[in-house]
Amino acid sequence: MKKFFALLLTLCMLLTLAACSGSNQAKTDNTPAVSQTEKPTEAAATAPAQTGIVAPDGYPDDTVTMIVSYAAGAGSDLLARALAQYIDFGDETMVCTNITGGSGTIGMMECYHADPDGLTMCLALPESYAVQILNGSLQDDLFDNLIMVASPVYDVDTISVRAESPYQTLDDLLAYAKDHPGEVTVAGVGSGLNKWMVIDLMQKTGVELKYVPYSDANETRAAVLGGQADVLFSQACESKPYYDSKEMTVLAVAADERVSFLSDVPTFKEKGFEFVAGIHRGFAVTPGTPDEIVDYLEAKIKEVYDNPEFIDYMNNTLGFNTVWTGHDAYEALSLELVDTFKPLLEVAANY
Amino acid sequence: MSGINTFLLGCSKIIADPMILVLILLGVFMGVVFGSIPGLTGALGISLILPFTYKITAEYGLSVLIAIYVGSIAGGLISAILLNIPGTPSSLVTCFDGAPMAKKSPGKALVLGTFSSLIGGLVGGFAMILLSGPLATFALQFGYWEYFAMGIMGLCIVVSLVGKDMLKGYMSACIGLLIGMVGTDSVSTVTRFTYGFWQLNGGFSTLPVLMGLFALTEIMVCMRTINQRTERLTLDRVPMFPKKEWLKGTGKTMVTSSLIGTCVGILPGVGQTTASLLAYTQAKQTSKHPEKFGTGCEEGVVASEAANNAVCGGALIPMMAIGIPGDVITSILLGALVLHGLQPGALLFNSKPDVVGVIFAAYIVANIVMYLMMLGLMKGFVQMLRIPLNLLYPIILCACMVGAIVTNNRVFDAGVLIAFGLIGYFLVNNDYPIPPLVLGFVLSGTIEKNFRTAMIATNGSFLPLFQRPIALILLAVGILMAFLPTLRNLKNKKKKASA
Repeated sequence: MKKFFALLLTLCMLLTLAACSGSNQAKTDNTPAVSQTEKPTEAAATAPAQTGIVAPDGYPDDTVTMIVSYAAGAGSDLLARALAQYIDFGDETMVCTNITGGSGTIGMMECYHADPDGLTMCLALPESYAVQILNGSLQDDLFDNLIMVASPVYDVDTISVRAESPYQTLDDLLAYAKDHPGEVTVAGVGSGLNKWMVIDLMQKTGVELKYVPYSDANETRAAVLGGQADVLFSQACESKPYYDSKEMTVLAVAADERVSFLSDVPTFKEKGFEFVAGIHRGFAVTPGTPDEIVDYLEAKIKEVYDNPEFIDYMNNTLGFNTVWTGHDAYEALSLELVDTFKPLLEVAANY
Repeated sequence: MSGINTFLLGCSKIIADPMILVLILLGVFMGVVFGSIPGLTGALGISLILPFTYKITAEYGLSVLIAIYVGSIAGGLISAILLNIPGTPSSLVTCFDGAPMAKKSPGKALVLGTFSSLIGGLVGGFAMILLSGPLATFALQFGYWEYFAMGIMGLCIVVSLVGKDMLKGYMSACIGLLIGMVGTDSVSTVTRFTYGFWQLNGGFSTLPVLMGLFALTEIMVCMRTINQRTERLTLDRVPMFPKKEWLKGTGKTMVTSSLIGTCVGILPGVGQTTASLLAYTQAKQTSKHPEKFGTGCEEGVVASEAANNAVCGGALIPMMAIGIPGDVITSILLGALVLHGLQPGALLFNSKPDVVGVIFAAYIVANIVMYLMMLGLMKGFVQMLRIPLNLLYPIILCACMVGAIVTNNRVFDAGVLIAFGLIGYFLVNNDYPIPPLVLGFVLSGTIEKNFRTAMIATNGSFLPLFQRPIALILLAVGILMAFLPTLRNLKNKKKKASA
């Protein structure tokens, strides 16, 4: 396999060389003969990095595997597949495999235990991992080891109700919940991150809601559409389809500023609540991966992020709120999460 | 625009563009192949093809994916009937009666199974075309109490699966319930029974467990007699249509099983295996001759195959109408829709009637193509029986291994497959029936999760259950099903006593 690619590469270089020399000869032969001999080394150095991003030696020398911890076709999966489609590794490609289960930790652990050669990546949800670190299902030093490469998406939390719901604004909902503590039911996925965020929301708005855990996003949406639960607590990508079809009203979004594809939905901040929450969906590599590979991957992902086609697909088709978080910021943010969430651990346990 | 018009619009598009038909043919073929090989499933086939559909139009992409879906669920019956090894987990119920029937006449079993698949598929399909809207609304009526009640109803039917030794049957069901509890509990996020294997955090995957219990066990049981001279199955001709006398008395089973399949399909997360188990027991309980079930009875094959194929049509309903998929495969289809910028839901029916029409038409056409193709190819499939078992079994074993590994792309699941093969062999050797175990395994998650969600939502009170008519009806049916055999026995005894 390697021999074949080596052969292919030399062939490519030969061809470019031939093309160069050909055009040179066709034009007025103004290049001195000396530089002609230097051409091959120059071509070899610049060919794989046309955009100015220099690839580390021999990377990637094989297909890059992106482990997606969620089922094929799910939102996160589409994000990973979009990256795989847009990313440019020259001769190599990125392939997604789905390893599901364990609230998304099983796939991540596969990546965690892989060879640190940068050929195995995984989709990372640091907020969700932070909760699992605190409640003991993931090891404490996860974020010290796992290398968080970059995050192109800050998928912010939203709260929505169905179109026929009596509360059509955040104020209505909060006013009702204030008078009737514990009566309004909130559907969310699992008892991890979403539950904690709902608890955080309750603390910050001073009302008491009833959080009901469901096992996946489909069930929560069915429960809200069917009237079994009053409010849907979900990331923006989950509520966007129903916002577009007007089957649900999105009451508020937990972002710093309004989200482009939910432009008429106010933020909690506008309503006077310091509630900003969501998931920095991004990518991670195996602990021990060399720094130059990590930097290279970050640059490559940034290149995809700067592609307007990708941004349009993220925002308008998938409903992902695009916000760039680079390697250093992403690492820092992940480490910080554990401390920020710590106070919620006890509250959640007693809820 | 009404469903029929949309469907006709789709048909006209397919006629106008023969490429769609070609894709459906290829898709069904691929589906049948994936379905018939134990271990490889339609979900795998669809995930493999999904990336290729990025580049083609939504109509093409969805047609080929739906064709694979239809082909794979039907294809499972081939190995279930001929080898007593389910090709896909959803066709395991077909083994109960299909395999014994094939001992006498493989042609009859295959034609009957395929014909029931067609009918089931069409019933599910027309339910989708005519009643998408109302049925999706019906699905939304199902909350935690309803799912809980349905799970309990499912458990009640275990009575008719336990076999001769009741105690061993119930023990087997309990083992199934326990196996279903392994993994992270979704309510408290505590991991249970994982014994330090982080690979078990998500619980056991269905495919390796079921394939281990059925395929591996069957292979091991057969290996004991592999060197003995056994009578070969006589290969009879495979007619294109089932003979009238074969279908006699199966009409009612055909219809009720198709309806059960459609209804189960509409409900997210219940699935084909449960549907065919429910239909099979329903057929057995209401049959005039329940003792014939398990010995190669026509109704048994009909019930299982009609139900599991009807699920496909049913599962497409909530996916299209409200964007909530009914099973694993439809959730991948949903992803395919989103990829093409199509947002499922009520909007889709108005804004893109042509795409919806093509989905409708492709589903119906795929069912018809599946029937013709399966029976056309039957001559070839039946030849499979001529392959000596000592060559065939290693191949199947490999296919199961591959299937287990690719369910989650890790080798751990191959170990799970082998472990459950050994457990299955031990159970079968000691006369513990496997079907109750499967039922317990499939249902324990549904029952537990929904019960606990309900308890949280109602602050620990049972009373709201009594405000849910659907849940109460389901529970009543379950109790009725559980006691029907006993009542019937009593009646028979009285009759005998008086006679």
